[in-house]
Amino acid sequence: MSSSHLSSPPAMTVAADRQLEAAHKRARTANIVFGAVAKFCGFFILALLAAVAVFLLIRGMPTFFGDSETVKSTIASFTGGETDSFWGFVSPLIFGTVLTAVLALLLAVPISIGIALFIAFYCSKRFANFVSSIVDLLAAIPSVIYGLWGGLVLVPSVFGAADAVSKALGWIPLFSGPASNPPRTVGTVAIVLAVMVIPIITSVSRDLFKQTPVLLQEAALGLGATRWEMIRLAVLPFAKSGVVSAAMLGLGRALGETMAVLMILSPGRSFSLNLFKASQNQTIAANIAAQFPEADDMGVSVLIATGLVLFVITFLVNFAARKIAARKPGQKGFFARLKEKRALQGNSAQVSTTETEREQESQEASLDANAVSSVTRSSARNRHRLDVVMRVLIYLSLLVAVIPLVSVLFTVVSGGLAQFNWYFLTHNMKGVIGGLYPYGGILHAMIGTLEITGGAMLISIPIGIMTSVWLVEYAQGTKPHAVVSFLVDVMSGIPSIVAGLFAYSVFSILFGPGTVNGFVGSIALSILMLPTVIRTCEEMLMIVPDDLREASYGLGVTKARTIWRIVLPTALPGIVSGVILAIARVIGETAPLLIAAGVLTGTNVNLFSGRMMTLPVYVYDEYSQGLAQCSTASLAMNPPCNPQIRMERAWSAALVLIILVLILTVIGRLITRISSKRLGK
Amino acid sequence: MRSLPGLKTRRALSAFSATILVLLASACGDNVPLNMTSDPAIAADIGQEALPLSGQFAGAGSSAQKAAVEAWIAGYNVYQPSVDIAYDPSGSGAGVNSFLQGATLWAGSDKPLTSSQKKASRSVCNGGEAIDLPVYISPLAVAYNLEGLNDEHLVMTADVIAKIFNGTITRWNDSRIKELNPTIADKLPDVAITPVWRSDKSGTTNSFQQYLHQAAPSEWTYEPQETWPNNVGQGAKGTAGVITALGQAEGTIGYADAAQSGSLGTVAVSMASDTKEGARKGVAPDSEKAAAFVAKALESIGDGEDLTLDLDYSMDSDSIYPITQISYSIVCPAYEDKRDSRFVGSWVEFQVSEQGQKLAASNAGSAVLPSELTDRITATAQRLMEAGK
Repeated sequence: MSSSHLSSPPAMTVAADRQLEAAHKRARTANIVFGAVAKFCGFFILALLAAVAVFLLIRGMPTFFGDSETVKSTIASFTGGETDSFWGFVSPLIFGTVLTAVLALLLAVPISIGIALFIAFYCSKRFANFVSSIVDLLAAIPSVIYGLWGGLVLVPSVFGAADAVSKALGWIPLFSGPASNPPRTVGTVAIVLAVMVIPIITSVSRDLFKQTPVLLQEAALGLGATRWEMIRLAVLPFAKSGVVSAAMLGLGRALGETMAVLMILSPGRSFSLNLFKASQNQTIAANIAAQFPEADDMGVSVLIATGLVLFVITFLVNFAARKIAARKPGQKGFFARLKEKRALQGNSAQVSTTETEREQESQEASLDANAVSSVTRSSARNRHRLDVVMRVLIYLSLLVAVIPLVSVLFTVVSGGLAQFNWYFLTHNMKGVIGGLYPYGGILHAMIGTLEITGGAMLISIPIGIMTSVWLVEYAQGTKPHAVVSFLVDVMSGIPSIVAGLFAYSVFSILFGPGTVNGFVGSIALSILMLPTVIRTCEEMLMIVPDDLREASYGLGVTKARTIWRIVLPTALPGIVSGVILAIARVIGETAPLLIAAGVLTGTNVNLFSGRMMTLPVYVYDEYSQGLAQCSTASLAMNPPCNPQIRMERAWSAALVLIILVLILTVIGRLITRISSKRLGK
Repeated sequence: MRSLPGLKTRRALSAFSATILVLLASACGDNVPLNMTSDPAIAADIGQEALPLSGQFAGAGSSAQKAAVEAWIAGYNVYQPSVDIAYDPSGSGAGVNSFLQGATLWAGSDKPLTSSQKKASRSVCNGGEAIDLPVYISPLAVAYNLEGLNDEHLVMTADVIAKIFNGTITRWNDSRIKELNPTIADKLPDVAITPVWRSDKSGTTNSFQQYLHQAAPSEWTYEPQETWPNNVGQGAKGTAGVITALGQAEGTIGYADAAQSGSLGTVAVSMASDTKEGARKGVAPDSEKAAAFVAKALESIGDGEDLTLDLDYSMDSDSIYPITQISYSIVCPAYEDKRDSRFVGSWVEFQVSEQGQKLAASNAGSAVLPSELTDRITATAQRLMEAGK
């Protein structure tokens, strides 16, 4: 084409010029439109978060401004007549929520740090990769499966330990006995929550430890420090604030956990601090999930108001986490970015900041050296002994994390094989009666999961990618960037049940009360997916070398085209793997779908109308129906009536769910590995 | 940009996933329901002269009824194969709400409508007030887990049960339990009693508390409602949660549908509140005796179509079992659409028919309705069907 243009007569050149002009114009328009879309998506996040707050407020409003008699009787019905005021209702729940989460954190932090240290300093690179993927596995297991495992495997097996501790240490109020049996207590819940939080803290800490300046490490070792002393003097001080903020992230996660608490804890409404007694505390999230199904209109309002309280708590915790993280050099949080911006306003100011930073760093390093030399004066034997002890503890922490993983996988696989067959995968539950044959299957749940997750992907992937494009390519260093970036962090802390309540509220306000369908579920899940998608895309776009962009601009290519043709394709593998991991995270979500999409026995392929079954909800629903009823005659039939069929179906569906999540996770990891090799990282 | 997936690959991928979706969508995977007449437990007689119906009909409500409704739907479809019934076990409260909004034709509910709900029902019931039809009776067992004693049916009076659940009696070898069970008094272990109750709102909790409140008024002073009022022992979500918790430790005791009690022991309930008589006979959970108990309540009911039952839990008789849960089908006395009237009429008629009740009994463990009740509900159902012609 172009060569024929070149050789054409002058009259034609004019036409070609016009064409070129038009093409330029189109390119400019496209450029403007692309930029506008990206900007829109960036601000959409702001609007979305505002919408979450507003819709929850509107739907929860009747609790505070509705007919006070109805509110009182509703709250009294929730508490068995114990209280009829909202704050009297919610304050023990707040206490319980914070208590379980903090206990989980106390268990999880030392173990996570141990594992992270092991990965960073105590093993070969290959083994470190293996351990990292085990930790990722722990993170990938859906909470409903932790709930099943905790309720059916862990609870019966921890009584001995709880009893022993309460007998030995009963004089401490925290452990006072007698220990409840079955131990469906805060202590047991804390163990399960800790297992769920460990991967979060571990992966952040691991990255931080690896970032410790090698110079510091070598300096410590060179002065004769043992490995543990090196860690204590060089690594831990460097990573301290980062680890604290990781712990706060874990706390945010534990605060919002629903299913595991719901399926294990015997709830109570007291302010007692007793690990081994049942019926003492309850969490906000579990209370919502427990009361929602039987709640009337006002009941739903009250529960949503408690959801709002949970939202505020997690917001504060995440806010604190960012604030702490912002102090750390390297990773810049909201405040660091603001400070940096202020510093940028004057050139001299900037220089002086960096200089002070450097000074501080060198001071820190010299402090470390002093500490090491003082330590070397102490007895070498004791130091060596401490080193060995710490090594053993670190190895132990790894073991402690592996035990639940092995146990969960073993239980799911051994329990799940009973019904795991072709019939199970290709049939729904319609026409299935009690324990009679046909035993039914999960086709409808798989279709529901596929469609609802697909819907969530369609919503969150384009918006997420465009938001990150805006953040990285357009808004870098501006104030809106700081705000949106912060809001994304806030969004990542929204408890899943709050996302479910939000989607439910939006639809019941806009489309009539009680509107429940697959798409409501998609909305809920997309809120949970968005922050993950945005964060990973952002990271991937940042790694794309600026040279590529500059080369493209140098050739006169518009910004939009550069991003679309050069930047995004380069970052694509990383983005894909980030998206896949985000899908793996939401595909096992139970609590929001229980509220937003409901349960159904038949197959519903219409995402926009009617309830829809999903795999995690199926697992929970089958579990919660208990034994099937079988008459003597039906037990003799062939195939026989199976009283245990519901539990078998729950385990089998859990197995399918785990396989699904594992496949997604593995694909995600593989793509990450390949892409990082490609980018020469 | 060599690494970009080729256009062809992408097209192929999207075509592939589209095909999968279509395949999945076309095969809904419904199970071929068991032919009800082949179940030897069910009478083979097909008595209903069915006026063929077709269409989709929806109900929602009580999760306690779920297993029974599933069996009813399968059985009903034997007669009316082209009717598609959806029941959403979203809970009694939610079921009544969606019924009152006109979203469903009937509601399953563990409690009858309140008077204000009845007034509200006029807008969806063509001007009439909705009626409560008790279609599902389930005896509740007080189930316990004591090694070696699970087959014994420990005898307890309402007083003792109330004292256990309010935390007054705390050990299994308490003299008040021993007194009632002289033959096995020595076997009662020195083990703490852990009461297990429902932590979610439930009709089962309400029925159990109604019993305690009426039969042991001095011990159970809490006003009966759907939420458990104290935190003695442990709470668990749903019947399955209670049964699981009971199975996990010795010394537990809880209440649940008798059909769910499995290998747990069940208490034989002694009617009198007086414990001084020493050994007394108790009544173990029994479907027929539960039905007889409900039949007694029917004696005092008026002539209307609404059959809200007022149970007298303090009754003293060896031929009844008093801890019984009732669940209603809430329907309109007439529907605007005649087809709806016809469907609801035939549906309720099937629910209470001999076959329907046997289906529920063998698949949900419920009790067969007493015939007096069946007759009255059938009359209402047939009137509805007539109205729909």
